[in-house]
Amino acid sequence: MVVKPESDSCANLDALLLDYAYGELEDASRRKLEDHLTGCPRCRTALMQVAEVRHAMAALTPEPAPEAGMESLLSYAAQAAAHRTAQKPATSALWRWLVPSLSAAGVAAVALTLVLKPGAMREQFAPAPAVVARVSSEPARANENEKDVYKKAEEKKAEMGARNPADLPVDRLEPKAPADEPKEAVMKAPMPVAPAVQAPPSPKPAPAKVAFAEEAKGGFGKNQMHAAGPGALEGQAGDDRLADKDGAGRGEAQKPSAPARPSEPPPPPPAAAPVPMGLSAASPQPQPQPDTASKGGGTATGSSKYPEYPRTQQGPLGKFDQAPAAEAEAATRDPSKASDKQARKEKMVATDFSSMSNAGKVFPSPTAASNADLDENDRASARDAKKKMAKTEPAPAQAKEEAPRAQSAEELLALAEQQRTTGDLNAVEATWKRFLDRFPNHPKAPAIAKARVDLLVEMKRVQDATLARRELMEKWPNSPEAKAAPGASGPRNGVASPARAAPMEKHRAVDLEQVAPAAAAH
Amino acid sequence: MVESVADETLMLAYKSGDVRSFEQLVRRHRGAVYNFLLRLSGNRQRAEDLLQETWLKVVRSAGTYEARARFTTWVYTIARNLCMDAMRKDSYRKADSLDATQGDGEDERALGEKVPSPDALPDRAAHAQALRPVLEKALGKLPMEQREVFLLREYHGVQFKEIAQVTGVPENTVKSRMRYALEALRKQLAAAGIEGDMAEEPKGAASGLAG
Repeated sequence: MVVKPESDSCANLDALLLDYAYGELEDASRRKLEDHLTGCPRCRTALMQVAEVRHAMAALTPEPAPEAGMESLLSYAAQAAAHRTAQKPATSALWRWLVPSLSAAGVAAVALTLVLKPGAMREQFAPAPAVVARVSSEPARANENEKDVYKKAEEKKAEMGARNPADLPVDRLEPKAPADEPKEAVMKAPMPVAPAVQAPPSPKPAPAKVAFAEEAKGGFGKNQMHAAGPGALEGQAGDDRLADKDGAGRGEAQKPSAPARPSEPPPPPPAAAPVPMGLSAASPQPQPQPDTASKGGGTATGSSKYPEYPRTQQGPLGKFDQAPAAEAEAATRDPSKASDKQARKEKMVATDFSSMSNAGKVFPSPTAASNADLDENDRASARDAKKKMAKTEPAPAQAKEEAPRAQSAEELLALAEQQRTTGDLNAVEATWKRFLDRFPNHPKAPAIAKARVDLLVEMKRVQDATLARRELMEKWPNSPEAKAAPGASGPRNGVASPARAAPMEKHRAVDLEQVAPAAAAH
Repeated sequence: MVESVADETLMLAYKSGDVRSFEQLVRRHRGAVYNFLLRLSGNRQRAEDLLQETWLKVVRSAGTYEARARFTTWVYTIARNLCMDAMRKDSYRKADSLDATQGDGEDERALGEKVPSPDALPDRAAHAQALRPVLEKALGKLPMEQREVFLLREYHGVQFKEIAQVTGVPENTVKSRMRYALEALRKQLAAAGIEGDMAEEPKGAASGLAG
């Protein structure tokens, strides 16, 4: 604050006493005031009194802040950062809308490729299961040696603009976590999305997983984190005065499109979704994950991920859920393919398991998949491991029995509820699907399956509804929902006439490999 | 080393995804924010809760953060508003807690007793320890709007114009509140038989709570 030349009186300078006492005066003003103080006892006294109070109050020294909450705060911060960067590309509403459409398109394209070049398909995607296995079984101990490879992979990844949520700083995770987290990543994999359409990668995917893992084990001391998600929480963000003043707080925080809760990993990041080979044939680098996607997501990877599933059902279900139309079409054109596919599927499962055994040794993370050399290397090791696996790896599936705990059934259901209130039916459907895939034995599963059928009918996604109903009948044949399904949803099924052809309406378990052509034939 | 990076830079780094920057920020300012909340609310548990809320809010608002104001100003604004809201919400309880923690002697000691004064001379530390309850009581008796101004200026080095931002009132108002606060404190201290010993510099005051 500058003292004007004419303001030499006590009254005017008095206003500056505080600034002076707290050292906020500029040099010129300070000198002026000091001059005044020498000749003004009244002002000197005033200043003295301020100094006395300050001196006395200085005895009130700071207390150390409690450490409690620090860890959960940092976890939350990491997760929020990942969430933020993941959401930048598209608003989540758009994202949720795009995913189903694009994934359907992507799978259709891949299926087409499959029809046209069945042999090439197998060749192209051969390394994939190994990679998936590597992701999902990556042991924590392996990380020590792999830091370097991580770094390289990071760079590579940056070059490619690829973003892989499975690429974790595992050293911060619980020993068990690495097995869980990547699974989460793989689960998202079966949504092939053309990368060109989806937005750029986010640089920091990993922390979200970390936070997620920590939170999953009760990391948050403050339960407000669970009570409301970033969406809800961010809703409050705008109420600081300053934040509002600065336009901070409200903006994106209150978009209804941010229903994701803290405990939920950010929506599948764009580049994380596998690139279907059929769409990116020009890609010079092996793209392992597309295989899982093109195989229908639920096939090779599915069986290793969710050992609780009967293997015979799981593949087909996953596949049809991903690309009902495309798969059905493919099967129709080439009925012999069904068995062919089945055989290949089993083969891939085997590869999957085998590669697990040495997964940690060769590859640090799925990002390594972008390294052609490493990938070649991996193929070899996978082949070797395959031989050993029969003897040495009794049941790799069991190792994963601790299953995807990352997001609880209740959280998924709550999320779906939340999404429902925002009217994002596609998101609701996707969440339910996720729930059903992961918690088929949950008591609410049949009800949710039924609700999903109804929702799909409501959304006029006829094929999906048909398949969802079929899934309901097959997985939970004894549930009241399944028994009620044909009658209950039958009438609304006018749109979905193909479904009526399904023998399932007679409450029979049906081999979907056979039903699919039938349904598609209509 | 890392301390040289400006708060605002760190916050912007966190905004674009660098979590370690955020951690740095927290480690840098957590203690100060806690003490601000502790003195403002006069309640240790509440201060702890509000501290967490404050930083969570920083996280949630990171996406829209712009370095228009100093980071600390921003954080104190958040902390201050959260605290005011909380105390408004249950004003009856606020009165209770203030009375309980700062109103009478025993609880006052509870508030201050654990705290050694780290780098002070032993006799001065003992002196401070003895004074603590009295000082807390004096602070607690200040009206909130005076207390917040005094705390921010005295213990946290926030300039008057920044306090104006934090509290949302003009700088002149801030200063007059400060004057009232100083005057009220002086009277209370005098009544308690505490006179500032002007033989010594009031050095600890400004830097005492900066960390």
